[in-house]
Amino acid sequence: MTQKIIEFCARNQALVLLGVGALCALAVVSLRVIRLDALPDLSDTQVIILSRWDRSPDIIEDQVTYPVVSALLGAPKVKAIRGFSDFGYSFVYVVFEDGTDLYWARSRVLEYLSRIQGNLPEEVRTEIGPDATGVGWVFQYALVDRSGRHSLDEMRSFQDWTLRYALQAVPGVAEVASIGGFVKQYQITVDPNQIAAHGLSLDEVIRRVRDSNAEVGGRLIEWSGTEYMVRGRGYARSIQEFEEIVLKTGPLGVPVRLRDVARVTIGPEIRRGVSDLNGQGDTVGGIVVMRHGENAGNVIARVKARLDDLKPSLPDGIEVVTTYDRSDLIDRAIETLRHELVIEMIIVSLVILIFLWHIPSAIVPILTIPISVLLAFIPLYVMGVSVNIMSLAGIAISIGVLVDGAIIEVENAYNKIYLWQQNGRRGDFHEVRLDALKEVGPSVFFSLLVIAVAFIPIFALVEQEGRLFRPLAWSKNLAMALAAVLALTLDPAMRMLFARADPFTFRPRFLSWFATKVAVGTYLSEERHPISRAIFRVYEPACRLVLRRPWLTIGAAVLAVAASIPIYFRLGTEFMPPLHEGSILYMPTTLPGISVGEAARLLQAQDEALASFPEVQTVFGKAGRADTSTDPAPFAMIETTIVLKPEGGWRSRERFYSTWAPDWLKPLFRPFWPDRITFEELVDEMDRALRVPGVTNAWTMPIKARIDMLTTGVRTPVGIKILGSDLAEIERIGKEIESALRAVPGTRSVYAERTVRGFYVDIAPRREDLARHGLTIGDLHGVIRSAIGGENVTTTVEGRARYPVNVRYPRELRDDIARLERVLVATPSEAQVPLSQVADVRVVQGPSMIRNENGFLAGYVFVDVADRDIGGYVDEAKREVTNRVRLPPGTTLVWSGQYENMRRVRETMKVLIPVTIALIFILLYANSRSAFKAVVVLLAVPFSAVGAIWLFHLLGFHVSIAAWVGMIALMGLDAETGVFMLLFLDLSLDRARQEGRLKDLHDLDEAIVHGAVRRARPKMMTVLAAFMGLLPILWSTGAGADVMRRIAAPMIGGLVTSFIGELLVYPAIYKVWKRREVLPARGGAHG
Amino acid sequence: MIRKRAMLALVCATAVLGTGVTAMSCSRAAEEQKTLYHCPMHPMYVSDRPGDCPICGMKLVPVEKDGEGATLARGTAGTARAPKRTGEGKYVCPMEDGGVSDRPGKCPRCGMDLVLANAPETPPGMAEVPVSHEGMRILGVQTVTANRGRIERTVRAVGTVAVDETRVHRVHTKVGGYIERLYVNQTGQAVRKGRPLLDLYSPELLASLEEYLRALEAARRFSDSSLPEVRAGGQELLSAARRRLELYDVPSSLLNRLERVGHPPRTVTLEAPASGIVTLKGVFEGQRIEPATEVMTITDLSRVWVEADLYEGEARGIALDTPAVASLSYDRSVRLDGRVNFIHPILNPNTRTWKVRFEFPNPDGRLRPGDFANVEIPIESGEGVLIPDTAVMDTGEREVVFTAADDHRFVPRQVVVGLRHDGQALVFEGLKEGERVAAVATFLLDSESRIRSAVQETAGPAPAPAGHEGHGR
Repeated sequence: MTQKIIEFCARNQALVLLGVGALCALAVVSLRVIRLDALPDLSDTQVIILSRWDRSPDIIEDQVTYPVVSALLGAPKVKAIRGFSDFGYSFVYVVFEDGTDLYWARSRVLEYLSRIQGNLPEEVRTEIGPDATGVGWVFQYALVDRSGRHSLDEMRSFQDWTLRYALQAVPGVAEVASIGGFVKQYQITVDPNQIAAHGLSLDEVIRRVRDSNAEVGGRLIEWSGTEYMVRGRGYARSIQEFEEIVLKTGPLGVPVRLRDVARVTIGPEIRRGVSDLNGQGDTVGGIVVMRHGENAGNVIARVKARLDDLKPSLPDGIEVVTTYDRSDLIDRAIETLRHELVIEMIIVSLVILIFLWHIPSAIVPILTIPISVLLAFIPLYVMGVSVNIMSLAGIAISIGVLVDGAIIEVENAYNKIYLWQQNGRRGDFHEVRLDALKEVGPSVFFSLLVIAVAFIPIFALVEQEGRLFRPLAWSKNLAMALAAVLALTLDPAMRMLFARADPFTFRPRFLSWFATKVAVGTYLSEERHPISRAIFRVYEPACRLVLRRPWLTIGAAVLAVAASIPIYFRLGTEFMPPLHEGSILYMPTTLPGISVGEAARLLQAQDEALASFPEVQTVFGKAGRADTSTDPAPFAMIETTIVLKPEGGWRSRERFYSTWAPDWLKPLFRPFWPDRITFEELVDEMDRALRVPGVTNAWTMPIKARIDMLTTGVRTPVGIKILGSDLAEIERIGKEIESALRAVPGTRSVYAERTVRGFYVDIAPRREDLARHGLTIGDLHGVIRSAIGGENVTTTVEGRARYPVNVRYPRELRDDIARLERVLVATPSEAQVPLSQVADVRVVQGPSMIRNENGFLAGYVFVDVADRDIGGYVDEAKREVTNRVRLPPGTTLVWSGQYENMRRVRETMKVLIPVTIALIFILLYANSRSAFKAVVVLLAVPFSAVGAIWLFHLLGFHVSIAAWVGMIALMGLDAETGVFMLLFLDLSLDRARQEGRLKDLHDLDEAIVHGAVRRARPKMMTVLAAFMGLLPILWSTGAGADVMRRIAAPMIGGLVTSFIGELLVYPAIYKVWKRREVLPARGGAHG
Repeated sequence: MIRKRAMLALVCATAVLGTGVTAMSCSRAAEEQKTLYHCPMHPMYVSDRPGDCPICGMKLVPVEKDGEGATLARGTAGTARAPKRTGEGKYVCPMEDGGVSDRPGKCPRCGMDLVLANAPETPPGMAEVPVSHEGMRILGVQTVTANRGRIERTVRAVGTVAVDETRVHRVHTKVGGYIERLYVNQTGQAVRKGRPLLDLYSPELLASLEEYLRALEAARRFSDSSLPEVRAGGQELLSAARRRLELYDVPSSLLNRLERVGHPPRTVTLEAPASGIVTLKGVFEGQRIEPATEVMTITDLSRVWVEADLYEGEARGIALDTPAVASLSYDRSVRLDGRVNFIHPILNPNTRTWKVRFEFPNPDGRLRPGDFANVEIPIESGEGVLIPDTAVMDTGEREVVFTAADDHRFVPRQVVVGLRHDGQALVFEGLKEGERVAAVATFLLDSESRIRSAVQETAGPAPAPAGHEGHGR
């Protein structure tokens, strides 16, 4: 089959070239429209239901979160429902099963939500979040007033009512969230003494204010053939209009107006988020949230273009300053990868060129690389995989391997042609080549098949890791598959193009020499080839040495593998390799309960300190929540985006090479001895400068942080969710579990979540006193709500803008508890009694945030497990908890955690890995027809692990799935080279046997040396191509390089050791294996 | 044989190497044990080795080390000093110096809640906080020295301006008659004492005047008589007639003129008995009036009353002559000093309020009866240590201040705060005069203190945390 294809392509070169050319054009087109992003979208299919209501967490939980969560229970394809109640906000995350369509999920949520919407308190505003996540925060800006003439509320109004809508209309933008500044509000500050004196109640004032701000229509009136539309005007639009509102008319017809009992001012609405730019104090900012699955690069470009359009219409002196722009990172990362790709291609091409020393042969693999990479984008585009660091890294690591097929083909052709020339050119030159191509075609296809099969486990990954690494696996496999296809189609066609076997002889001489070199080339035997000669000189003595001590060699190899095992366990693990995004997200956290003022003050001071660093370009701080459901941060979580200047502008440092090394040499040292202050040092310095008591500093990066924040479940291997109805009880059980599990062997750490304190002022009514005054709880609550809290009673309509109108008591009456106690409650007997006479007012602590899981209050216990099989651990832990922890009725424990995931992955892997190994084994067996050989080939895997582990250890990398991906990629390569090694050994042995040179152990040794050493070139070439191709990645420093370095490192380390293993250990094993064949022969039977 | 020996050697070598590596890792682990790690976002999660936070997946960071040794020692000492259990302490009134009780409740004298005295020094679950230079700068920590002093609390009440009842004069005629002329013809008109109010034509009065004239004439005639009895009788008659006129409120000036002129006028002019405002005018010109007729009421507003309702607890600290300030909600320029002049002895059962009456001078008449006036009654509290009230962190369980041990260390201290007013707090217990406390950023100091305490609990020997907790509750 494969041979037929090769033959067909070789004979129809023009057709193949044309076809490939057309496909390349198509690839260029798809490259233009393919989605660009920094990282793959890792979010679950998740719908956020956000409810806003200015109430404390427990009230929100009881009246909003709980009904919402319970309404959604039983919705189809829902994996988990998690609710969080915070002050003023209820977040309900509905997580759907993997692969559920987001828009389908959203309509299910709406459908289920509609059943309860009527049952929620009237003031609750429930909305379903945008079709985006926090990871979609691609662009942020701040408004800066250069003229000093605009107040913060004006700027916020401009942001809210003009800029926001203009940007939200940009295709691909899901939402533009405002942050900071003040939302303008009409504040009606009612003097309780005055309304008491006028015999009014606050309720009445509120009612009157509400009634005095409306507009109605009176349908139509027809007059003399014309129709007139009737309208009743009446929106209050200014302070004066509010002041004139009549509250009551006295017996003598004297009206009591609002201004008689209250002060009307314009002030800030209650603030749940503040922002700061460069430590200059309050500012107004905006966050552009990209729609799920959009092309980040394009969306940002469109947003920027729209901002440019809007520039002339900005109010005087106001400027839009970009505070975060992900396209920088995307551009830089893609630039880095492109740069690396090009370098890799050049290096690999050079390796091939040097090894073959023959341009017509080398040109085939050299062209195969870019073409297969380019063509890979067509299926990637069709599958909706975006171009990001992961998918490009997949391509980057496959470059060295891509060409294997081509190398083997051309090497074989080269060898055959050389033999053909040596043997006096018998037969047709073309046929010889074609035969050579057809000969190795199946094995080329097979070797690439092995590599592809090895990747099966990656596709079995689910959830976040699946979403993160699947693009990499796809792009790598697609590139490989395309290379395989090209090896069967394009390569033969191209190889056949160079049809000439004789040197050119035209004049001038140098031109004909050049033409000959390029188009014909000279064929050298391995012995005469300069590279081969160098290899022989080193490898032959080494080979002989191991053959002298085969057992010792095998033993040493086993020991080397064994010695690596403890090292492996000392390696740290991480979910995702770090991606240096070029910006810092500084996340200082305080305990909950910090006030707006204090948070704003802290924010400004921190930003000022940060802005003083010379490396910093802008600092945009945010405390609290931006006006979006994708931002669940309370005031205790400050998020400051620090955009750094390009690294060239950072403070420099003296290094040993700084003075003498010329500029072109410096990049070589830089990755190991940076001559500028490094990112880590910078963060370290910042951290030292920002040690503030009560604040713990977290330094992360914008995208990474958003991804981290996406997961709302348990991240430890084991988690115990305590579901119940009483928070105190849940906390008590949590502590008991904590102490019970400490004793279980294998527990590395156990931590029961404490309800963190929030501060409450409790106003607890005394019912008997209320009764005495004829008051109901509701009357009292009315006062608490409106007088103390202040209620937005209506909204003004002023052109496009809408502002809330708030009624409350003067601030000085709410200053401390004593004053709160004096807040008056109107009784039915028209008397007014102070709060303290009907209720107790006290400061208490309570939960600052409440978690709801599938309708129950939930507390988590996080358990980290080490050195133990998780299934057994969980069983024992369950027993221990059942014995030692008493559960009150109605409280349940749910065991979950990553172990569920791990277990699922493990279950899948339990099937997949044996199947994969079996498949590879079968493929190997099919190829070599020997089970022993197949096993020996697979032995390369542990050898490669040795190098990978040690290199990881030396570089201080952590193990992540990225590393495993690298290892798996390596496995295919190992198998391939292993097969070749054994193949050449077999061939050599066969020939020796045929020639009768296999009489004793010495003959065996000679045969092995011949097979191993004489055919080292193709093996060296494939391995070196892969190795040298990966090396520049290890040197790269740009954006996205870190991810790639972690994938490339195991490959580089593994290639070295597995190759050494193959070169040195395989002969030893081979000798031990074949010795029995030879020894009886010496015994006499053979002859 | 050789091969075997060589292999043995290699195995040994590798074994040694392996143990070396393991040993190395062990010793490294031992070193690491001393460093604690916590999650930067969930600082309460503390681990003895690096890794990821189980809650949010962030990388754990080493717990800040500056001054850690000292903190550990001191912190443990602090937590070991178990706080007194409630019930053992004394309860004192935050206002008065006396008022000590064994049980919580209200002060018998001023009605305020009693507070626990002898509070423990370092509150449980908190630890000392070292602050670096940078930290001080960013926090903007300012320390304030506690001073002894008094604090004023202000009772605010709204009152109604009322007429000073002692300054109301009602004008009646003592005889019937007709009002010939009304000099003060409008309600609300201001009058001065002695100015004419009205001309009264009263036949009855006229007869009396005639009588007086006659008595005068008779007295003159009799004055020449040699008989002393006659002389005395004439004088008696005259003085009786004059007294009657005087009792009718006929001004003596009129009588003197009468004596000169010798014939009575048709009408008699009545004079204002006091300065003030005519608050009621019951008559019109030409009206016939009887002595029962209310002619007018003159009210003197140079001094007014303000009557205010004070709530039970508030009224207790107020006594007669307690100074007070009156102001008007619509006119900020008015501030008048006055005093309490009456406290109603009976509580209004409906509103649970006391009526308290204040007296205010009203020179320009700016307080008008019927106005609502705000009354502030400053009440001086007991003496104590004064600090800014931003320095006090009320956690709901206890009130805490952070005292500056030196320039860069703050020690939490439980205090008893009596009163807060006008940005000041009066501390009765837990703080001495001259100590310095952090005046701002209390929230962050409190957070840090808790985090450190949690870290110390984890760092301490295994049984210790349970013990601490037991003490704390």
